[in-house]
Amino acid sequence: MAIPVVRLVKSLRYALKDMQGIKYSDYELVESINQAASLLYGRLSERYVYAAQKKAVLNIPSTGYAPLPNDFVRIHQIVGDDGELIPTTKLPAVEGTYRIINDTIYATPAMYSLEYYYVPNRVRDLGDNLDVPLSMEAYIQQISLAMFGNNPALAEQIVQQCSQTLAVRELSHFTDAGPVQVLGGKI
Amino acid sequence: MTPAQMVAMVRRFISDEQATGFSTGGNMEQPEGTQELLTYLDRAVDDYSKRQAALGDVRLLKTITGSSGTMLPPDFLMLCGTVPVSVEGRVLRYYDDEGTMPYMPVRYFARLPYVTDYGDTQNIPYQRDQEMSICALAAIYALNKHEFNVSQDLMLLGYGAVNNANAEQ
Repeated sequence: MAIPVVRLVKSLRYALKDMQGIKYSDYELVESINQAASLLYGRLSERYVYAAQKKAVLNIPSTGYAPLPNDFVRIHQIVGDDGELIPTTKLPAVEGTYRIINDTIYATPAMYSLEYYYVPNRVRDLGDNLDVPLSMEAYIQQISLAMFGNNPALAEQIVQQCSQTLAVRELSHFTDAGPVQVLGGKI
Repeated sequence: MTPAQMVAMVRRFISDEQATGFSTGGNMEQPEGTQELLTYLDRAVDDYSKRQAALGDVRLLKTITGSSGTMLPPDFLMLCGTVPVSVEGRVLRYYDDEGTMPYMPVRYFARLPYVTDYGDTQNIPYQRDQEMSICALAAIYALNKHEFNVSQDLMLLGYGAVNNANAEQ
């Protein structure tokens, strides 16, 4: 799922009271959406929030290396037929290990399942879609507004709030945590 | 309204329906009479457009989708918001980091077309309020030529008082 940029721009214009586009151009708003998305996803991956994860199939050819996806920020895990690979410092990587240098991953030739933290690609104009789950829309809007208003402190505050909300998003079976909560469980 | 009708309205504003003050005729070489009034109308179009653009009148908005090297349109007044282009002389240059087409359209405030761009019987696409303001402004220019005091007329149009030439700065 992705959010249409035109919808974000519409809500930003509404909040900025500039529906006619007299004061601010579309470009300015699209730029602040890009800033918001990269700030939010940078922070989410720093804090290991699973909501910022993506999965891809990685094919390492016989050369022993392959380019990483272009929205790659940091690795979560890479799994082959024989289980999870562990990082190594040696090249060429031996069976069961991998190494990442810049935007290239080295491992023994095979198909792997790569789970990684991503940052959404930049959007360019109103026809594009921002590669972010729909549930993030309100956060992206608020962070964009804060960035547009040149208020990075407020933006960070909203990012923090968003990280907390999303931190346990993928976990089910949380029952009533009771009046005191320790690491999401009951005392 | 046609240019002839615009001139007639200016004449009504300056009480010159009989064309005694500004005679009929005249040409660009000898700008007097009707030709002179047309010049005042064009000047009024200029001033009115700039003023309305500064106030953010959406009726003056236009869009260009050009590329680097595109000439600014002749009716260009100013850009609307911050857009990723720079203007050198009258040539547009895009800051195009990704290098892909199409370029994002650029919105700008455009000057209204000049009265003299139209033939005598052609309809000028002004709205009624624009016709009135432009004619009133042109009438002020015409009255000013005869050194009437037009400061009150300007104030009525919302143009503020004209400084007395001898006033202390």
